[in-house]
Order: sequence, then structure tokens, then C-alpha cells
Amino acid sequence: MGDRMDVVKPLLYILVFPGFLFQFVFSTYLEWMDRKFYARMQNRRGPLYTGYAGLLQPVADILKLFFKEDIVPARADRFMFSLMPILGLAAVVTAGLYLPVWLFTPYNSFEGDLIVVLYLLSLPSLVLFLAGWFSVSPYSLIGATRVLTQLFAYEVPFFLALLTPAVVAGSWQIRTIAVYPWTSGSWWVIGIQLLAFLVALLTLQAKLERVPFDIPEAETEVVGGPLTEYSGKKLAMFRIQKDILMLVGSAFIAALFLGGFPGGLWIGGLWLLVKTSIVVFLLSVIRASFARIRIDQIVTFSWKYLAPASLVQLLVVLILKGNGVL
Amino acid sequence: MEESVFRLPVGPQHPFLKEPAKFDFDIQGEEIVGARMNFGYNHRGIEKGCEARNYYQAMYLLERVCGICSHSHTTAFVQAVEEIMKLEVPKRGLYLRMVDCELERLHSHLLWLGVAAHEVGFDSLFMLVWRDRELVMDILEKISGNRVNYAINTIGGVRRDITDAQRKEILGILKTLRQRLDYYAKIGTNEPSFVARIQGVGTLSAERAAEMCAVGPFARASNVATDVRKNDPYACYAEMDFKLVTSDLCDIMGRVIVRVYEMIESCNIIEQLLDTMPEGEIALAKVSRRVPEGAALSRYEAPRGEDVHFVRSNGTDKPERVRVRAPTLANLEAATESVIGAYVADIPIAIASIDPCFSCTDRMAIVLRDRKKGVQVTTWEDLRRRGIEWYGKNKGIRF
Amino acid sequence: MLKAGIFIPELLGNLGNAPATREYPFVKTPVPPGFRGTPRLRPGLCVGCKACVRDCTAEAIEIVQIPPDPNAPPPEPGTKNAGKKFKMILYLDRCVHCARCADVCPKDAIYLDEEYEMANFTRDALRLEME
Repeated sequence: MGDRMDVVKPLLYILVFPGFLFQFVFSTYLEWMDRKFYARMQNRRGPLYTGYAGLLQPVADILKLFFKEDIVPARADRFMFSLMPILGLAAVVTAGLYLPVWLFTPYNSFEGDLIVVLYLLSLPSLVLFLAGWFSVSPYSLIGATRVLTQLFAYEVPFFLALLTPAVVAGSWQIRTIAVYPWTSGSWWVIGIQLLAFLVALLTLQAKLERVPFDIPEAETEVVGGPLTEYSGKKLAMFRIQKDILMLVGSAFIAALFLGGFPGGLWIGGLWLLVKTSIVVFLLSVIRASFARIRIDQIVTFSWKYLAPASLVQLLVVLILKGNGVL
Repeated sequence: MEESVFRLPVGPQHPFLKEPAKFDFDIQGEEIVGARMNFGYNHRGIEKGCEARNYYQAMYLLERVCGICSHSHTTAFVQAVEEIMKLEVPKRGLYLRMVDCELERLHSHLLWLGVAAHEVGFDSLFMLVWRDRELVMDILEKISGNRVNYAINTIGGVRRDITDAQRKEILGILKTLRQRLDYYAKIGTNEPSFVARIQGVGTLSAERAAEMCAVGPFARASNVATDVRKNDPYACYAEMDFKLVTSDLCDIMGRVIVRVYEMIESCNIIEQLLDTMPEGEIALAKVSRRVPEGAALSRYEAPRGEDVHFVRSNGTDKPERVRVRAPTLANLEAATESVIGAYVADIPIAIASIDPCFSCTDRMAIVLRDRKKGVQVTTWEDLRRRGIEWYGKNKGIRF
Repeated sequence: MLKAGIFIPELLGNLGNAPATREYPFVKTPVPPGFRGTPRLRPGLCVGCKACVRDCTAEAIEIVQIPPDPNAPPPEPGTKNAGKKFKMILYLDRCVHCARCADVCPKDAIYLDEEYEMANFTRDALRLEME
């Protein structure tokens, strides 16, 4: 009986909680929140009729895509074209397994799992590039090259910004970093890292490819970028991937900068809901306030402002840590 | 190492185009080195349709050349017919026509501002501008019966009068609009991400704009002071006091500024019209259905530029020839040229900055090329005869 | 960079305002009087002059004489159409709602109502007969 539970338990963790099913449901809730905030800021209503107050609208959109015809372009490499959505989805779901919620086992919480998560979170961008590359169409190729260029722009500030809480807490384990304000008692640590928080928000927006950084998938220019030729189930999987990426990114930023989700299953779950919603609200404000900037402007902005800001923040934290203040 | 040139076709169907048109860009990396354009996907045969209809039917048919500048086309046509018939339209009718002209300019420029914001991904500005545009659409519905295609003209005047209540409502809306327009002028020139997309993009120098015969706000933003309301005033515009808005920025930011300030000038004109509107008839009581022989060319300042209508009559109650030259046709070549040297990401906003209306643009141009005889020139009668023969033979339709 | 947040106050202010969207089709906005909807015939006024047929922009009207009742007494002599009854067949899918028919009718028999939801599933349902 113990052997069978040893096999079944990890499967339940991967597929149900905190694995795919939990992430799917929670990410559709976050997408609903994002759409509602975005609409209300523009004086509109947002999703309204599917489910109570439109809560089921993201689920309805994804279900609709499952019923649509799935077309593979004639000149595309059939195997790679179909593999890309699955690969991207697998990467983000695996990254989500390391969320510091509730149960911590040696499988999903170990020293250095921050690095594993950062690596897994850079896979979706690569998958988007390959998806655009293997669907041979002019718009996809342009979008794919833009994805890579944007990756070069935001990846360094993203890593540096997420390095700062690790330096503050003196550990590479997400669980330790998340509860550092609770364990050390110094709550002003959150205030010190505000610059890194801002940089992390902006670079997460770039990773998610949302306005102002959504040039790879700009609807009015390249029709959909790398995802132009995708339809049906494959496009549905890309959409789920994007939603779960938003969930995982916001949850990690909330865990590292806003002080984690301690308190067991139910209290911790409440903290998860509230803090992730705050981060998603901030992402919605960023999305609504700006226009889409060009790829060369993204690179300039990132290397002129974001990277130096994260370096300055890192320097401040290192000095404070070195002097024993933190 | 020589970089290869990549050919990117844009259109006829593309999310940035509101109407079909074909563009071909040669791209190196992200920079555009060559551009060609092709249109004709929207041709509906309206000019031929006018020849088979009497003047009233043709007037309402010409309204449907374009949805946004519908009033421009019918007013230009009616002015040409009134010139041929030497009719003296009562002053109140002319003033009411001008109120509709300026209201149409307001709604068209607001539409353009929203669309331009959408092309650069600034969806919040798009939604807010279109929300304010609804105020203008509601008042147009009240005074004319429909939100677009107002059908308010008739030969010899207008069909509907405005009541005092409607007049007060228009003045109230103008007050709200002025505040919002000042706010949009501030946002359009100061919001860093929006300014980064439109400043220095799509430049067209003043000399080149004058050479390529650009018209409308597109030319005025390149410092070419051309406006039919000032150069060749029609319908009491000579009595109105308003500024000709130009800008010397020569890029898309200049076009945004010109259109926003033109909207403010339109608000001024409407207020002057409503304050000084004379009493009297709104249309001539009896207008002959048969138009004497003659021809007239009438120009009108549509929201997009100079709209030219040529009407030739032959004594019957159906026009002999109606020729429409829409402003977008004059601006398209200049727009295609202004894109060269910019980035791929600038294509939508640079083409959209002329406020393209391909439905207005598509008139027929036939080029018949015979390998043996070289380039041929065909006369209009020959074309008509060929068309009638072809339809009779192949489709069994007799005209 | 200092002006980066110039648009944000308006957006955050909008969070507190009621949305500007009307919840059509559950809430229908009333149209103003004078709206140009579907042309209708006032009963009994049509004299069959066919001015509307001649001037309709879209050739959407037909005026057809209703066959006379064989038991009715013969009409008094008068105009050509005295005593005859007419009905109007309107092809709503061709109509462009310009209201020219209402303007040109000498007996003021045509008026445009305020109905704007005219979509239907079959073209036959859009062929309206009015007398």
C-alpha cells in the first residue's frame, strides 16, 4: 500500500494540486480578473454573462478553441509544429510545481530551486520562437525573431531583479526567501526592494508579451506573430500556457517580494489568492496605461533603464547586507 | 555580406486595414527599403450606377460611397447639381448643411484618433475616444434620423430643421467635447510610449507633400496650407471665422495635432453657426426634376481632404456622368513613400495616419495592354459600349 | 520619464465610475423621434401614383393594385385611379432607409417607423406587404 501511494501521490501533485488542474482553474480566474480590471479602467464592463459576472468566460474561450478546426500549414514541419504547444505547457506547469504553497517535499523544495524556476520560465519564450520558426509564414518569422530580440532585452533585468530577494534572505530556496520577512521580523525589507519589485513587474510583462511589450504578437502588425498559423487545440494549449505563465510569474513575484503564503493549506491559499491578485492588478494597470513600443525601443528602454535600476538595487542590498543591517 | 531583401505582402486582408488594399514591402531586417501599393478591392460601380438613376436616387446612392464621410459625397454632388441648375439655396438651408458638415468632421476625426491609438496598441485611448464619439453620434441621430448616412440633403436645401431643444443639446455636447479634446491633446503629445511611436515616424517633407499633391490634414501637417474652406469657400464658409490649422512637424505627431486642433475649430464653427442661424426656409419649394445641359465641378473639404465631384448633365432627369475623386486617392502615393526608411512596426500607423478610406478611393482605371499594339488608350464611350455588349452577351442583361 | 504615468489617473478614476456600456440586447436604448426605420403605409391613402417607386434609391418598392371586389358598385368617374385600392410591397433587404418615399408621396401615405431590429433568417420574411 505504501508503494502504491508513493507512485500515486506525485501523480496527484503533478496533475491536481499544485499541478495542472489547480493551475488551470486558478489561471482562468486570474485572466478573468485581468480582463475585468482592464475593462473597468477603460469604462467598459468586461466579461459579463458566462457564469456569475463572467467568471467562466476564459474557460469558455478555451473550450471554444478546442472545438475549432486544427490546421497545419502545408510547408510546416508537422511534428515540431504540433510538439511546441505541449512543450511550452509542460515547461510552465513544471515551473508552477515549485510554488511555495502548503506541502513541501524534497521533490519540490530544495536549495537552488529558484534557479530551476528561472530556467523553466525562460523556456516558453524559446518555445514561441520555435513555434514561429516551424510555421513557415512571413508573419510568424518576423514575430519569432522579435521574440528572441525581446528575450535578450528583458532576461537580464529579470534575473537581476529576482536575485535581490535571494541576496536579502541569503538563500536560493524559494520557501526560505518567501518567509524571510516573517522569520527575520524585519518587515521593512519589503520597502527596500521596491525598485526590484517594479523591475520584476515590468520584465514579467515583457515575458508575458503584454502591452507595452507585446510587439512579437502585435495584432495590428504581424497578425499574431509566432502564433499566426496555430488554430484549434494547439492554439488553446498556447492560451493555457500564457495564462499559467501569468499565474506562475505573479505568484513568484508575490512570494519573493510581498512575503509569501504561509499558514498551511487554507490560510496560505487565501494569502495566495490575495497577493497574486494584487500583482495581477498592477500588471493590468501597466497594460492599460501604455502604447506598444517598437522592438528597438524595448531593447533601448531595457538596457538604459531596467538593467541599471536592477543593478543599483542589487548594489544597495549588497551594501546593506554587508554592513549587517539586513 | 549582403543582406537579402525579404518581401512582405500586407493585405488585402490584414488586421490593421479597415478596408482591403494590397501593399508589398521589401524589408531588410526590420527596415523597409521599398513599397508598392495596389487597390481596387472595393470597387462597386457607383459611378456607373449613378448614370442609371435620377438625380435624387444618385444623391442617396453617392452617400454610400463611404460611411464615415457620407455627407461629404452627397453635399459635393448636390452643390454641383445646384451650380448647373443655377439654384439659390436659402441661407438657413446652407447653415444647416454646414452644421452637419462640421459634426461629421468631428465624428470622423474622433474615429481616426481611436483607430490610430489602436494601431499602436494603445487600446485604452481607443476606448475612451470612441466613448466620447458616441456623444456626437447620438446628436447626429437626433437631428438626421440615423447615425451614419444622414440623408439630410435634397437638391435645393436640406430636409430637416433642428428644433430649439436640439440646438441646446448640441451646445451642451460641444462643451463636454472641448474638455475631452484638450485632454486628448495633452495625452497625445505627452504620453511617452505613444509619443515614442509617432514622433519622427512617417515623415513627409513639405516640398514632397506639395509635389505629390497631398490634401487634407495629411498635407496640413507637413506645413502645406491647403483647405478648400479657405481657398475656395463654398456654402457660407467665407462668413465663418476659424483658423487653418497647420503644423511643421511633418510626421505622425503633426497629423495628430492637426486633427485634434481641427476638431476644436469645428466646435467653434458649429457654435458660430448655431448662434447666427438666420430664420427662413430650409429648402427651395419647387425644383425641376430635369436638369439643363451643363457640367460642374464642385470641391468640398471632407474630413480626409479635398473631395472633388464632376457632374455632367444632358437635359434629362438622369446624370450623364458623375466622377468622384476622393481625398485618399491623392494621399496614397505620398503615404506609401513616407513609409520607406521606417520600420516594419511603423507600417500600420504610417498608413493609417492619412486616414485611408479605400471605399472612397476605388474608381475604375482601365489599362489595356496588347502585346502587339503596345499601350492603348480607350475612350469612355468605347468602354461603356464594351461593357454593355459583354453583359448582354455573357449574362443576358440588357441595359 | 517623469510623464510616464500621465494617463494613469484617468484610468484609476474610471474604476470608480459606472461603465459606459449599454447592456444590449437586455437593455434596449430607445431611438429618438424622427428615426428612419422601416417604411410603412398608412391604410387607405395610397392612390397609386407610383412616385415612390420612381424615386426609391434602391428600387425596393412595388405598388400593386388590389383586385377589385366584383360585388362592389362601380366607382364614380374621377381621376384615373379613383376607387381603386393599392398595396405596397416593400423589399426590406433592398431598402436603404433614405426616406425619399415618405418625402415624395403627395398623399403623405408613407411614414418611417422606429424599428431598427430588422434582421431575419429568410429573405421571404423581409418582403413586406402593406395596404
